[in-house]
Amino acid sequence: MPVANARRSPLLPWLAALVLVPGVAACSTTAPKNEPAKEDDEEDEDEVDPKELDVARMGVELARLEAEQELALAESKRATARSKLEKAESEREAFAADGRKLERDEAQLGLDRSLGSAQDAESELKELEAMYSEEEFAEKTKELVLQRGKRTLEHAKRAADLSQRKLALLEKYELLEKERELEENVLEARQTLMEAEQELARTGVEHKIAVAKAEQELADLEKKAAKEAKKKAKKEEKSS
Amino acid sequence: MSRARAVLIALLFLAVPAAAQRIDVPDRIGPEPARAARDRALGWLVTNQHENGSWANGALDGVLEMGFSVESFYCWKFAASALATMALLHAPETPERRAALEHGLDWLAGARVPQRGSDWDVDFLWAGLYGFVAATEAAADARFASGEWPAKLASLGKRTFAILEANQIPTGGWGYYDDPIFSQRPKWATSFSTSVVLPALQSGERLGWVDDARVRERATRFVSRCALPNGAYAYDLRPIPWIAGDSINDVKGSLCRIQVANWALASVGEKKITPDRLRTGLESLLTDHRFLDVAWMRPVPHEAYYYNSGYFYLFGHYYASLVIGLLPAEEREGWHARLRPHLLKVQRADGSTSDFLTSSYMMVSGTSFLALALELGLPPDTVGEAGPR
Repeated sequence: MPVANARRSPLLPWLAALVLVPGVAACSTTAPKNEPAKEDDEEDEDEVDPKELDVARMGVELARLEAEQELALAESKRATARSKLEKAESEREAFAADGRKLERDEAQLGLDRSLGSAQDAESELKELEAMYSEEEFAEKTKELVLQRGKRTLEHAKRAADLSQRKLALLEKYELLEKERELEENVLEARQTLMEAEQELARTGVEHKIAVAKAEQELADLEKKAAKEAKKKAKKEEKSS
Repeated sequence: MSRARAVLIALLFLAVPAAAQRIDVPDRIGPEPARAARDRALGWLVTNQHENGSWANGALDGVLEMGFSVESFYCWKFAASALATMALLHAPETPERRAALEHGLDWLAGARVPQRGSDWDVDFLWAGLYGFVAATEAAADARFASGEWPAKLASLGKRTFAILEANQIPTGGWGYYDDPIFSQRPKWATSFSTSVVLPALQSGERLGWVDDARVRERATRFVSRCALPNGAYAYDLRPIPWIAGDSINDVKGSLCRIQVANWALASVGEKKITPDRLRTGLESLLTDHRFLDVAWMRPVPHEAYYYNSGYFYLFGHYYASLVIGLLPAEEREGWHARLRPHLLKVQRADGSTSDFLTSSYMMVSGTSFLALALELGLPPDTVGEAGPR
């Protein structure tokens, strides 16, 4: 099962090394490298080391823990994806029900306002020109004020034109674009939810396998240890 | 109680009226307390005159006015000194007051002509306005009709009129700020600053200081155009006035401008300003006075409801007193009696007052407005004081 092996905790080999290495080190002091091995020692090599059993038991525990954690994580991802989908659907519905009209009305108000400003600027300029035409006085200053008024009017007219074009753009493209974007958000959220559900299912199976494998390894070792214990007992019975 | 403790308590008690309005004033006050209050105000002006005859410092007195041009402080000193001389001019004469008055007029006549402070800050118009008003009022006084005085006053009048003539905005008014595009002749004016000088322009024409009556005519037209259908006067003249919501152009934001503009227009013969219109304006001031009370001494301009500023207060009460003078003689005391409490309640123990900041020019102008407003409502003094009113 390569997938199961790949998903096993990276801590496991370290854990095993931690438990096993002191034993190996102890062996090296009692049996020098170049000395021929005794018969008893050969028999000992086939024996199941109790520490190896401990590691196998911890391996089972670790596999269960990992399964629990990763399942919780996958469930959480699925809940988030579900919530995002609900949000995307709600946004799409709100836009269809009210948002589209709101944005259009807002732009229309902007246009009306700027048309009003342009009208005000025009009335103000006319009024100012009427006041100024009553008497020939302070002509240079009047010219400055009128120049300012004319510029204000020109800017106001341009602003109104800009608002008009913005409204047209909004109606022709931007509202459609926004609708499409909201639709895409829903589709994307749906896909994310589907992936999260698949990941949850896969994680469940993978960890069942990992736990089963660890339990199998432990069972094998326990069986081997029991067999050897039995063999050893028979041998002792014979010699006595 | 120890002597020190008693002194401390007495000092605290005295400090209260210096810091706040007294609200325990009656609805009406007769002439006698007003006479005493006027004398205290005049006494403060005499005592606080500088050796050179001027009043106020002419320099920055506090951080709240740091944004103005350096020249503006001199301009305000000049205008405040003009107001102080007006207060002394209209007061019953005593040797001290006469000496202070002559000294003050002497300083004004010889002082440097105020200049424009910066591109936007044209507060030198206040010096032009009140310098010119003071000159015309002094010139109308028999005491200054002979000797060196006519020439001195004519010099003051002509120099200050030159400021006005060169800075009258195209629509005819005078203001104290300019706005972009900054120009040699400013473009912004207010109804109240323009009103201040209308009758004086007429006097200036009679005195021969003003040879072009069109200056007054267009200024009169300017103020007239500021009149709104609700009885208020617009702060400034705009082709489309701002009248919505809590605009300053509501009557409640125009209580003081109504007085000065009605007085000015009526004084130069505008027929539409009838006695009833004067009465309506005065009644608004007294009925809605709380909007001025709440603005009094607030250090931020236009901070109160309807954009009222503290500095409207004493200015407005002085012109209200002038408005009362335009009504039939038999009803004047009734109005003055109702106006006086609002003047007396803001006077400090030493006779001075201010309605905005405690900068020296504000103290001098505020105290002068107070003395002038009270004086206008008093019958002639009978004992120990002689001289023109």
